[in-house]
Amino acid sequence: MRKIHTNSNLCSGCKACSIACAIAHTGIADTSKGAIQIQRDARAEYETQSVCRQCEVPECVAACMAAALSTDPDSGRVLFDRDKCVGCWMCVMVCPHRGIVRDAKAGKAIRCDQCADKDVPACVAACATAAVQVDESD
Amino acid sequence: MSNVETMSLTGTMRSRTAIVDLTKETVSYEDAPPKLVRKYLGGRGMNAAYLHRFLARDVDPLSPGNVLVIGTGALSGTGSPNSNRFNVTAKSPETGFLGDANCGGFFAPLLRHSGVDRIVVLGKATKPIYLKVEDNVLSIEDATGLWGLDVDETQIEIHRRLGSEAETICIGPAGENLVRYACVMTGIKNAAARGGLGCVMGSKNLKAVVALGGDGIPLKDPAGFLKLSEELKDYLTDSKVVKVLGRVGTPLLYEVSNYLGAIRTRNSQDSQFEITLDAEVIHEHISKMISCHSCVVHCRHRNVYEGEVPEYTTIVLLGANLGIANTANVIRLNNLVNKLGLDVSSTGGVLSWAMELYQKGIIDDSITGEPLQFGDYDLAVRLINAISKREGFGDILAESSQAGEALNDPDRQYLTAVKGLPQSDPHDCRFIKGFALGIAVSSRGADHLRSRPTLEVFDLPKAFLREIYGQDVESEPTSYRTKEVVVSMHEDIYATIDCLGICKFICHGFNSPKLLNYGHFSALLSKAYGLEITEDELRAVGRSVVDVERAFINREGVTGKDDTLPWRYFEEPMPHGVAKGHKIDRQEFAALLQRFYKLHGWTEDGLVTPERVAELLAPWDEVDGGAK
Repeated sequence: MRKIHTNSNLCSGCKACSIACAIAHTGIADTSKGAIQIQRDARAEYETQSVCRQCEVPECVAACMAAALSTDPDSGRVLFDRDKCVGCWMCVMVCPHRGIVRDAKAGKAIRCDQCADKDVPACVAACATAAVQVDESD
Repeated sequence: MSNVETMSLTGTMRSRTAIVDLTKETVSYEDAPPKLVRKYLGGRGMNAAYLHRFLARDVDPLSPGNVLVIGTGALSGTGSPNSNRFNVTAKSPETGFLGDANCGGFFAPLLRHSGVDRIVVLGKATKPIYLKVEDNVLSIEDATGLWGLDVDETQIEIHRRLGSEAETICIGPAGENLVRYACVMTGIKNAAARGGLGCVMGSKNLKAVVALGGDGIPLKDPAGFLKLSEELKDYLTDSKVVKVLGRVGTPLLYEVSNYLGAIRTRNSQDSQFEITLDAEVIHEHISKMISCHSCVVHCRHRNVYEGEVPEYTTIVLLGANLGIANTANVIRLNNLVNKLGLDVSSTGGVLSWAMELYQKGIIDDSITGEPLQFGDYDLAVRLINAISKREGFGDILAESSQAGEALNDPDRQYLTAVKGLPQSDPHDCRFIKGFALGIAVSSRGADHLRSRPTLEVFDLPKAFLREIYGQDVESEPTSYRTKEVVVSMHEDIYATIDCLGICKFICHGFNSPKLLNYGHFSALLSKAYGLEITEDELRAVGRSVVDVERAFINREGVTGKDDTLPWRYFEEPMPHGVAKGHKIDRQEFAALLQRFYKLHGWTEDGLVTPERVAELLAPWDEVDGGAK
């Protein structure tokens, strides 16, 4: 199953991954709407990425009361049905990796779909430092 | 104007201006006239055009009548490579002419995402305030609790109040205390540094501008835009110069200039300095290289002394220029000026000026209060702090070039400055004549980022030079021949990318002849907004910016006589290295200036013609009041 791996040592904190994700999925350049986000604090001196890690036992699916999140029985990939999302943020709260983003205005979660329709995920294609990489091995 | 006409001029690109009057406490919004946007696109060019509209003639830069424009570039915040920049523009309290500075970081993308492309600040608040832009709305907020904080503390407090996603530009104590070269800061190190724009903010009681929220920038062809951005990223990251900039940053230029004997040392009395400021030595004090928004270069240093510096400019202006060789101490000085919100270039230039005057006995302890010696790090720390508070001798130094009388050097003979702006380029411009012309004619005073023809250093083949400059040019950097053509090419493209909000480090001509050129930017604008603009039209945007800024400084009193160089560049030969013996010949330089004016269609006195001024400002004719 496709996985997206991140390496914070290589991350320069530029957020190109976040904005590329937003553009690819919404057509709008808006860094805050990417399913991958950069946590950066220049004063505390860190840059680190957060994105869905495709957990084997996904807490988010268990927490979702609207059945917006489910696990694909064939691939094991977590699927997200945005129409069903009610914006309760339970998935955001339980995810241990900050892998789900809130779109507070829309009242919908933003969640990585791994760009399943693309050869290379948008975030990976946008990264200039190979800090976000795709792993296609099983 | 119909929607169809607007679409043909600017595509789907928004160019929304928020106009805030701090005296009247009013806020209004307007879409910039499409013909104006087509002519200047955004950023630096639009800012200059707005100054022409709102700023009355002969206004005291520190009075409420001054106008401050904060404007993002046309591609800022789109996610294309290095699209993160904005300009801050006003009448400069340091020079009395144009104050305009370009800055990276994360603020510009968020300001655009939050729904405003440009802010025009009029008047003066009665008490300290900050401006907040959130979800398309600009509001005036109370800055109690922020005033008095340094640059870092201010941003930490804003994060505490508004959340960590907010991005801020602000002033430090130097801006509050009206130091004439206080800058506008964002993050730990990004500065809209030159010309005292932080001083203008301070004069308006404006501590900060904060952006958050918003709905982003809709793109015309998202898939095509992403694909093009990825291709450009791959092309750029393959470049040798981008790779080395990403590894060690701008200090890489130090060794080259030092070898040439062109490093400004001890106020340009010498021109070679210690290897302790070589890029590899600096790098021993660096923990990580980091980026501005959407940047593919990552040339920012995170140093091990709680800062994000140094740059080539800072290691020379605060290092060699002050005779300070200790690597860690030079970095610490740079961290300090950033926290206080001072322009590194003017700070270093003014300090070294005072040190040489003391050395020569032109000033003494009765003025300075203590001996001034080159190489004294503790003294530099004391003086920088004193400048930011305008305490003691610092109060004189805070006047920048206007301190000539107080320093017994009324003609500023020993200050390396043009048009009252201390020189930013660490390179001693007596050697490479194109550099000298560039700083002499720069619209904001002695500054290399307007036009520096760095390619002069590279000894490129004639045929390649012809391709770059569109005609045969002299390859010898010490010759005066054809340097007007060379400088013009660079000033045009740098002006264009300052309107686009793109970093010069990925731009054709700044560090390499092979990076992004007009054609690439034309394609990006097409994909982003369906804005169809040819390479030649983009080049013409740059030229319009150069001319509209020139028209502004003409209006404020600049003529050809101001396009000159520091006294030393004409009178004293360079002392060291390859450059030894070189200086500027007055007659050759005067002839070069005349060729430069002719190429621009300016008068022999360096004035933009009334016909050209009318054409440059014509888009304002359709707006109530027109240009001033």
